[in-house]
Amino acid sequence: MTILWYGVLGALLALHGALGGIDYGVGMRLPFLPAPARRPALNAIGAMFLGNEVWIVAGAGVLLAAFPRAEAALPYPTLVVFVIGLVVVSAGVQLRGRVGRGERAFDPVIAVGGVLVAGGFGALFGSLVAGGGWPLLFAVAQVLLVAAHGRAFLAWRSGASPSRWPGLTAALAVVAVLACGGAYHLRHPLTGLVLGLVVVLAAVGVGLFRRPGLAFLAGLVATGLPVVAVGAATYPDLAPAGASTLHLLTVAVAPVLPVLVVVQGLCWWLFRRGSRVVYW
Amino acid sequence: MSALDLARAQFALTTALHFLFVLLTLGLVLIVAICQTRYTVRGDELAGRQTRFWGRLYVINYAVGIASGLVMEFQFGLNWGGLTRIAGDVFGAPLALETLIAFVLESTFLGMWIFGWGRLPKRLHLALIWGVVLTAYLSAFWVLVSNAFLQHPVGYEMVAGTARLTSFGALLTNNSLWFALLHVAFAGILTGGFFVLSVSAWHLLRRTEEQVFFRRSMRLGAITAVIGTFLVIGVGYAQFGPVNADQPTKLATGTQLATAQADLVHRFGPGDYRPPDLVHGAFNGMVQSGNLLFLLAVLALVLQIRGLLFRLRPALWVLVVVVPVPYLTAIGGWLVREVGRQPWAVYGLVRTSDAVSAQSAGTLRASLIGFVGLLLILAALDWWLLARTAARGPGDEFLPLPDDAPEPVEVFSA
Repeated sequence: MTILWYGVLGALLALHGALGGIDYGVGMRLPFLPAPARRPALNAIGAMFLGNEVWIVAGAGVLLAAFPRAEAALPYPTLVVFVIGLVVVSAGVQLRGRVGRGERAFDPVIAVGGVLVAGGFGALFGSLVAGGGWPLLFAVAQVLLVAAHGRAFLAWRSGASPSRWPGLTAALAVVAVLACGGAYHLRHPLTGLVLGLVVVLAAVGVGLFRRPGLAFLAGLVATGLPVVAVGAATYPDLAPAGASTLHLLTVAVAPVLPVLVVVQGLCWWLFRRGSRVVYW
Repeated sequence: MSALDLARAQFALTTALHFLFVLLTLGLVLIVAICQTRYTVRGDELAGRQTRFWGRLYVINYAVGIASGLVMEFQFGLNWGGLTRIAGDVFGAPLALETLIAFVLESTFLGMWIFGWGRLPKRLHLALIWGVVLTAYLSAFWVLVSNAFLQHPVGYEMVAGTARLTSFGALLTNNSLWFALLHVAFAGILTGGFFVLSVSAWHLLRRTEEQVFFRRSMRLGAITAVIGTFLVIGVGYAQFGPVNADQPTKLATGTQLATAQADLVHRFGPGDYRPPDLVHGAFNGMVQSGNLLFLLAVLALVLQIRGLLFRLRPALWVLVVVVPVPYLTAIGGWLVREVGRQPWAVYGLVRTSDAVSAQSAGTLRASLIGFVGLLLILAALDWWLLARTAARGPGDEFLPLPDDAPEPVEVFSA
């Protein structure tokens, strides 16, 4: 059951990277969009914004319950910065729309929050790789990946064909390849390296795929896979909770997970097409 | 301040801020769902506008509810490593269930509800808000299961210095759980009722155009407030039994307290097991305040007969200025429950001084300033937005737009 919950934790954190990454990637884009494009960009996430945030909450919950001694071992300042970023993006986006005049002042703040979340997230699982400069490298990689992912998402939702972004893609590929070097430090280096190379390929795909849907899909892989790579390659470093706790979690959560998947799927499906009139 | 004091201060301040928004979430979502049910089932268009207006305020409030909740979620791992190390197996599980079962669904449903106006079938849209109601109270349930364990540890055994879960059923039948949960639930309900009363009273005083809208809202708010205050007081009295049985030091004074102190010294060794005096002040304040709120709620309901209340401007003013009172009362209650537990983090099992993480005072001070500062800014912004949105009243944005509107249109409340 330890493997099961390790896997659940990994899945939740991967979903946070990929789906939460949409929220943070779009947030990072906001100040760089022309003013009339910003509200439509936020409407493009629209109904999914709150739904995308749930994965990190669930992940933190599983971390606390299934691996109670792990969270205290994470680097404190990095975790604080990560949480601050989460708070800023979450509240910033939700309140921006209610302010009226002056809403654009929120955008740089939201963007910084997005960088803190993505960077903090990268630094946190980068710290599991090794100390020194590795957390920073992983932070930079995750920020670039999430930024590219946000662009790909907006292009997909607006139906526009994405311009290719050779500069960003090249930078992304370089950083991601460098990050793969961290596999050397891991318990299962081959696993880490293989998954890391998949991330590199996905990262290149985000920038170079012509079809917006494919680019977005590549973005999901690129932002979700890194934490899985590190997690798989460092297994079994986290000390689990007792068997009775894991058993309880399994019994209580198993019936709910399909409901959750269905409800999230329903959310994406019901709002798959943009609407001419948006009440909110 | 020592590291322990800083950690405790951060927890107290962030929890209090979080709970201020949770209170209104619990109460207002129920009112919104009731209005939407009337709109959907009876086609009552004013109820639809009520849903939009009160729902808009609910969503603004919810934003900082989530934001402060995010801080809460990570705070155990950050600042209370000792507690999670010793007792995390047991009290962590309900918190995880809160995130995995309640919060995830609540947020997803709410996102769909906010954007679903005019896009989703009406009954599905209605089902979504009731889903939010259900999962909001389910969230409160799980958090209180966890907190009840801290108050009165059950269903565990100590294995090599770590608590291991032995009985989930014991966690669910904890004496410290059910009356407290009902107490919190009714506190939320009365807060929602008073919020609606206060905003409605303000509009009636200003004689804005929406007199009918706010008269109907006043009635709904008053009924909610009466039910909430009546039941919160009743359930509050019911808590005396479990509290005095399981936590003899919490409410005791005089010789009773001395006896409890001696007993705990006998069981746990030398030390001061008496909680700070502020617990008694908080308790008395909460009770007086609760009684006052009940009286005001009953008056607010009774005076609406023949519309007398609507002509009594002083009474309306009272209802406007009473808006912070439910929140302060609830904070008083939490001070009793949490500070009254001291010096224990888990009563009789883990002392607060052993529960804190091994971080330096400097680190904890920076964390305290960062998180509390950020949440205070967000709270201030949120309350300003709430006041402004409430003051503007409902728009006519609910009316459907013509099909030949040329461009994509957004109709959102400003």
